[in-house]
Amino acid sequence: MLTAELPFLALLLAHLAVAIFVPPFLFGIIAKVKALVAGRKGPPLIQSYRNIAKLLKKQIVLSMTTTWAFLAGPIALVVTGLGISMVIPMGGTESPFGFSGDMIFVAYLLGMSRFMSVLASLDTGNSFEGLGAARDATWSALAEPALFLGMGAIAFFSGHTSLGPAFFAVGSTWGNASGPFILVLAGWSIVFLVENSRIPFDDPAGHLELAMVHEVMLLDHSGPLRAFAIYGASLKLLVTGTLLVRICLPIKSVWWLDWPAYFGGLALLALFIGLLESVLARMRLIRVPQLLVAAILACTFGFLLLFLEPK
Amino acid sequence: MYFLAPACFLFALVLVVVSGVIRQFRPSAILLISGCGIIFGCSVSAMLENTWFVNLPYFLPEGSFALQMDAIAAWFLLPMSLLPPILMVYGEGHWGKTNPLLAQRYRLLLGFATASLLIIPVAAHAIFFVLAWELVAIFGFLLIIAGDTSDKARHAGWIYLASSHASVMCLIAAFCLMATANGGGFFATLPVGWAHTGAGKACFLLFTIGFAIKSGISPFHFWLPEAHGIAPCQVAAFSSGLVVKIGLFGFFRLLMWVPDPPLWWAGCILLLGVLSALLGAINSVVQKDYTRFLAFSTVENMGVVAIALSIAFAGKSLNQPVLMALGIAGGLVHVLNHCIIKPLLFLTAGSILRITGSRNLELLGGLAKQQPRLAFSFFLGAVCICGLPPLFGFVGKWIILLGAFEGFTNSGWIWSAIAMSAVIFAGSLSVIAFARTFGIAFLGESRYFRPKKTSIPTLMKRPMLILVLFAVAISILPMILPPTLQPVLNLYDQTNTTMNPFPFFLNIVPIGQLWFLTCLLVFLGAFLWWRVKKTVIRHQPTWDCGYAKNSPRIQYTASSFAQILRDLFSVVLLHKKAPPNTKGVFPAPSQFSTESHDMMLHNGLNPAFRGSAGLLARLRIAQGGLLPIYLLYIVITLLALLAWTLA
Repeated sequence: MLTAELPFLALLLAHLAVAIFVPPFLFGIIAKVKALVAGRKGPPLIQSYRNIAKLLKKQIVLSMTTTWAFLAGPIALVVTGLGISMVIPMGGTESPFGFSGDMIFVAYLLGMSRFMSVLASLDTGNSFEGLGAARDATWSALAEPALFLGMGAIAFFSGHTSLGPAFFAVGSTWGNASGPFILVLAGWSIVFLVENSRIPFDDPAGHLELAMVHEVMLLDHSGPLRAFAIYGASLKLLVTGTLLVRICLPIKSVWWLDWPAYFGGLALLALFIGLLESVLARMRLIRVPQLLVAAILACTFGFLLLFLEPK
Repeated sequence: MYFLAPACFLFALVLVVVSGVIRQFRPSAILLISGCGIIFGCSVSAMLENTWFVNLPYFLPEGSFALQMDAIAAWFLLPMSLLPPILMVYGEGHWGKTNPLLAQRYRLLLGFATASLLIIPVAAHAIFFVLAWELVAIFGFLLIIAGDTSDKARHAGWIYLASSHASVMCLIAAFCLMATANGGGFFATLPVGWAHTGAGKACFLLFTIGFAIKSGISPFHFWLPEAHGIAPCQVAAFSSGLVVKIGLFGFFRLLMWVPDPPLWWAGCILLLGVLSALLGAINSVVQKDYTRFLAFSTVENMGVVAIALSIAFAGKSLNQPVLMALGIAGGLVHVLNHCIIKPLLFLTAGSILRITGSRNLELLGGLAKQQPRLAFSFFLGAVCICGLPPLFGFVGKWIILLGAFEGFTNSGWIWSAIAMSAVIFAGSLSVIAFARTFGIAFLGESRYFRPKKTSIPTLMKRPMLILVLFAVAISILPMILPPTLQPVLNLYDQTNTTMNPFPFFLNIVPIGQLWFLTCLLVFLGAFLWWRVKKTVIRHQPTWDCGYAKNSPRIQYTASSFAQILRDLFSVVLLHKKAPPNTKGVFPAPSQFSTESHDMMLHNGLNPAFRGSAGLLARLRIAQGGLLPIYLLYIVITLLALLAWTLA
């Protein structure tokens, strides 16, 4: 568990700090980029922090229909997100709690958070929230094989089922197998967008007119629950984005270069989402499965190509 | 002292049989509990390397009354001895007051079925094994039709009986072929190389069909949703929890007998497993009847175990001990998961049925507020059977997926990538299916129907509580799994003469680290829960999107929840819509209905049987209906065989 460069405790603190403090900042960047492209000044970068802090101070108004499942949804979102951030390698090569098979753990934690958020939505009895939950769960389920085929490709290439060593092997020998990893990256980008309900799958900007997936699932959340839901969504953006950034970072050097490179990668990713959301519109619903099939195919081809490449 | 354990085992079997015959509930329950308790003890002691073999006197000319207790038998006997008393008590709670005669009949059949079921893992001779297998099929059939005399139930029971006998026929043929290699009906390791001969191939295919029918693995799953969807829930719990496992047990035995399985065997089982996992999962998403939904979920889980078995077979044929160990261990943990959790879910479903009187999911809703404990046990079961952390269901899926990863990364079995994708995809579909069922039945508001004021009898509640406690205990301490798996792995290791030894299990499966992290997350969740709970101040109605006339009927329904997936997989689901007729200026009142059918039964078997019925009816000429004619056939057959042997 201990790495050569960083002692375990420092690594743990670094991961915790990133997981707790960085995610809302990504939302800030996205909002800023969208505003700038539209010719507006936009909210300050730390606006999401302010929103979350304000919501945390408020009290909760609950629907009379709801039960414990409603409270558990946002909490599960935060807890599973933090769990993933503990096993996913961020800046360095290792993660504080990495173990062999943690790829599987990550996928099943995502599954758990999805399960709980579907329950929380159905718990209100609001048909709008049920609709959002159905779409969210269905699309994520279709995206899951793509995520796993990509992980399979990385595991096959590196011989590891733990994300830390696997990404390290990928990063240090990108040149050997760039073709397959570009395909995996393409597939994972689609998975990333659908897992976080961004354009072209869902438009998080317009609240009820356009947003049909993630935002509608939060209609009845208030106070700290809403803060958890927003923070949890940004945390999910961070951890799934980390997968994309780590597969792109080609070299591995000393930690004081690796961590800034990682943050730079995240900022670029947020910039990319902001630009994408400025130029694209939401896709028609019936087209969504086609794009997800494209993601599965890209990852499958990436996986198959690896068998042809020299290891 | 050597005969103490077998004597105890036989004594316990007698107790189980007698428990069925006794009329009063209390003594009969005490007998069943003590009998099953003794067998539980026997299996635990067999886990601790106290294995035994006895060959008792036998009254028939062919075969042998041989019992062999080893680690793999003990692993299957643990849940098989744990569940029947629980199910018996539940059945008494369900029928004891309202229908004592039925309760008594249920106890009788359950005792007999349990006794024959308990023989299967320890039977060491083919004829004995087949006899017990046949008894399980017959008592299973009687149990399924016990509670319901409707046409539909009889029909489902009939399909079950017919497919069970197809399974027995395949097994008899396979055992005959195996006897030619072994020189008798005793179970033993087959000679090296025999699996590659024509007889070996035929034997494998027959075994696969026989075991797959019994455990409801696609494409032979057609009987399972019919039978388990209509049977009384405690019977469905018995069949889904225990009876289908004997098919899997057969595969585990086969893996032990064959020293050098060809690689295509693994491919064959993988194909069945993938088909079963995906078909089961897709079908379970769209079911409106929640017991039928649980039955399809069984099909899916049997598929997942079959995938684990294919990984183990591939490991054995490629001489990759790590792969084989992961396949066996993953499959066994998932079997244990399903053995405990599926009965829990079925018993919960039985309680829902008792309160609401309807199997239709669309009529339910809001049960969590009236029955919080029922909601909790269903929730726990759903999380565990979907294999989601933090419960121990995840451990099984995790080991299976580790095996799949191991297959293509280090062991050179590329096809395990398909195993990986199928397990993952089926898993995420089952998450949707369980979230849908739990969400629609327990959350929100009641849709059409006002629950009766009936409460659930204590005798029904306690059995569910025991199962919940078991699931929670294993989840809190998953470290008890590796030491229990180790004897089974050692057994496979010892029977491998041609293979490298297995690695130490904990070296390939870091269960301690997983447990530590999971504990941290659970504590964090509990802390956040406590914080959030404190800040609730006010309760208001759900925001109604500006709709003026709010009613529970505008809630999202089970059908609409599954609509996207149903349309995507409409080819497999045979989905039919009957659209409302709303033409003209003043349309008459109209209805909209949808239904899905099982592809295998409706497009495969039913047409095939209808088609062949006319042809086979001509064979009726041979059925005179008179006993002497049948005796004559036997004489003719014997004479023909005599002539054949002489020639």
